[in-house]
Amino acid sequence: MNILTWGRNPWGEWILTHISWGLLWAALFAGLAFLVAHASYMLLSRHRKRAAHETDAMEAARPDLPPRIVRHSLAARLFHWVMAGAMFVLLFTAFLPIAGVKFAWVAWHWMAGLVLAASILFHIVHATIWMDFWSIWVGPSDLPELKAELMRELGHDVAGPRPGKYPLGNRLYHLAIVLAGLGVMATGLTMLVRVRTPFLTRNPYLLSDTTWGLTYVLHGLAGVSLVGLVMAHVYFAVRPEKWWITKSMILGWITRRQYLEHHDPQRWVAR
Amino acid sequence: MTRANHAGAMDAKRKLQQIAAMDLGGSPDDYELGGERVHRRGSPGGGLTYAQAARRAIQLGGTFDGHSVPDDVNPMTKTSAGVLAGLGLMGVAKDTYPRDGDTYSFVIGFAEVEVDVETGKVSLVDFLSVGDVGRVINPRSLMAQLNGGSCLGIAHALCQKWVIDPQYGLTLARRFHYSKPLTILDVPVNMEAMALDMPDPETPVGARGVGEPPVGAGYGAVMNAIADAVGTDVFRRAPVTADIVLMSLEHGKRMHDPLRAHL
Amino acid sequence: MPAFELLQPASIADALELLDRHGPSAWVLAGGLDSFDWLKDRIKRPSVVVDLSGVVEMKGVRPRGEGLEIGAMTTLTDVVRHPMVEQRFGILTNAAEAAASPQIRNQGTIGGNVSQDTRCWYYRAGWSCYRAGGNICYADTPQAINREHAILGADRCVAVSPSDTAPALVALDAEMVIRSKAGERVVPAEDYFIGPGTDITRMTVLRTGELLVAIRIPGTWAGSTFYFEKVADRNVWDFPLVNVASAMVLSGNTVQRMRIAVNGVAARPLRLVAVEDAMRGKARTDDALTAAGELAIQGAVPLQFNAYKVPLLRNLVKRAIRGAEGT
Repeated sequence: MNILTWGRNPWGEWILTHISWGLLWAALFAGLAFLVAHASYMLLSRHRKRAAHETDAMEAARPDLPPRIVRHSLAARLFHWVMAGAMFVLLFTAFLPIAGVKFAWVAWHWMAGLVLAASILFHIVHATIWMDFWSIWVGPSDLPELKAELMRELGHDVAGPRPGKYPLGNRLYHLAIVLAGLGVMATGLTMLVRVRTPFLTRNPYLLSDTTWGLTYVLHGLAGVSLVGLVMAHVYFAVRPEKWWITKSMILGWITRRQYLEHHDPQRWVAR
Repeated sequence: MTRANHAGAMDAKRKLQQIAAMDLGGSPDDYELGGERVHRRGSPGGGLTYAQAARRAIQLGGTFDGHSVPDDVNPMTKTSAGVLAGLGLMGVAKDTYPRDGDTYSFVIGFAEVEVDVETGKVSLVDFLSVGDVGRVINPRSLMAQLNGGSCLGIAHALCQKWVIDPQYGLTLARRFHYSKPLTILDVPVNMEAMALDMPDPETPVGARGVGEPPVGAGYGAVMNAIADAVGTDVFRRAPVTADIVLMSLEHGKRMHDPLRAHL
Repeated sequence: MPAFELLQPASIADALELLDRHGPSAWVLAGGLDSFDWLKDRIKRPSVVVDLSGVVEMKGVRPRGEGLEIGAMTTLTDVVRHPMVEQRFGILTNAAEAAASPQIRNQGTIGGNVSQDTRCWYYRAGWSCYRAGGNICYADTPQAINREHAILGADRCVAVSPSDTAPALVALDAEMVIRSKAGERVVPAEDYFIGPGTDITRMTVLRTGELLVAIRIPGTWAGSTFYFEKVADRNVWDFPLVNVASAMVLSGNTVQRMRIAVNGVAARPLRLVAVEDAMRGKARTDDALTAAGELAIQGAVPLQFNAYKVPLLRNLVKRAIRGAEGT
């Protein structure tokens, strides 16, 4: 299958135009395959959470902990849902016409894109200043956690580190989303000059044909990656064993027991 | 041009007379031309046809069929003669007639237009071209040139133009009709042409050429008529299409780039 | 011309069978005046051309109830000269006669005239724009030749519908009879044409395998006061810059009801419903006309070189309501 689509410019030269739309179906298929594979696997998997007796002991040792632990502030939750809404509008306006559902999508797409860009910029500022900036990133120091969690998957209750606020899987996913999201945002903002908006004079000749081709290809690659990434994210959000995390993105808190069962209180100091 | 044509034609006439004298006796002056034959004076049915004389010219070669040309002709004429040598009887000569100053042909256009101020559309209501082109020799051909040339000029004023994309430099009007040449419905039914028929003293037959001047006359007359109709500030470009006129009238000032023509 | 297989069915059923068999590789040929530009420029290279010139059942004007049915393969000249059209639906006579030139009208069909592709310079020159499957519009740029392009309804593509008969048919509440192997569907003229927001590569709702077989004109507007005007650069063989078609039922100077449609300002002929509603039951005073004109240009977005279409549209709408006797 082709990954790229080529076209001819008015001088007859071959130039890149955009990705092949087959990649959309590939992304949907890959996402679905992942969901099926993971769900099947989860039938065999063990819970990785802390054993009940250990949790009881910790709960008794920490009478200072409130029954509800704040996980996501209001600002963080608002950001998440605004971005999620924008992301869905973007994905549907981008890919429904390609799938054959024709409607006037362009205006909705760039407007949602601006909302996404604004929310991402908000998030960068908010997370850097008001949240624990370093807690989301992945590095070599996470290897012990990886090993411990893998052992727990297989049913061994090992002593190794438990996750901080953001488990390893979370953080790897966030990294992927950062790459795809920033990629699609940067290319998307550039592409605003290719359509009619109230604030820019449409001028596709701002960049060369070749540059535009690359921009469109990167935008498309990031876009189809997001199809798969969003599918995975929504899947995990509705999984029964993760439903407590999803609720926290709506309500803002988790219970003290969940906090102790799933996290290392030294790594994530609850306030 | 008429003088040079005349010189060449006189040379051809002399050669026809010479060939007739050679083949049929007598001196060249005994012969005259008429009815596409070179014949003795008073015997129009005799002599040689032009075709026969031309075949003889090819046989004789030399100066008769263009292999040898006079030394005083223009080098370009010499080259042209060389290409055509041997194809028939060739008359080639330099214009050495006396000259007392330069003469030119002039054509004047008179145009009446109607501008629809609600749509900007310009219609040509009446048109007359008058040529000062010397003695009229072929009226039908002359009027056709005056009218036809005027039409071209009118087209440049009203609708005809190239279409080229400025970014890529490629022509977009790739077929002739895309450039919108004039149609018969764009000129008045009673469009007329006239000529002054004043003989030109500087040419042997009193005729001059007509050629391209009607184009300028047609164009200028129509442009002036439009300016007279809607004011001289309405346009500074050609062709003056409906959009140009309407935008200027609507906004009270010119809304287009000035000094463009044909685009 | 590039080589293609020429198929010449003799009936609608045969034609539909061929179109169904060949799917997207088939090109439908009516009068050929649009097709041959594409084929001779070698921009479109279909492998199969289905020539409808032998399909007699698609030709002719016949009465239908209170109105008419015109076969899609009827030449424009035949439409212009038909007494039934001229007696009661004179606006179609005027519109059809305004199209192209006598030679073209002798061969061009009314079905082809309404279904014809846009004349955008760039699209017709074969440049790879949105309409051609690319991802750019060359006309909507600061210096491009967009004098003839759209001021309304643009959605990435700014090309316009060039048909003269289309607005007249919209004003007459005509219906388009479309047939495919699966059956028949009838679409109001207004909905027959689509804009780039719906599908940027097509001008009409015709899908692969479908044929426009006839145009039905109801008796609704027969004998009303008609007005048609086309403004173009030259007086024959030219596409409209803007054209307007209106049908009015008047009592005295009051408009009881009316239909008005314009073309050359958007990718499809626009029925100006706001103007119709505003004029219903109103007298044709100067103020009413001015208001109608302003309604018509609501939301117009000019490009660099087509801003004149805004006053032109406004003025033509006023004229269409004022009628020929008002000038």
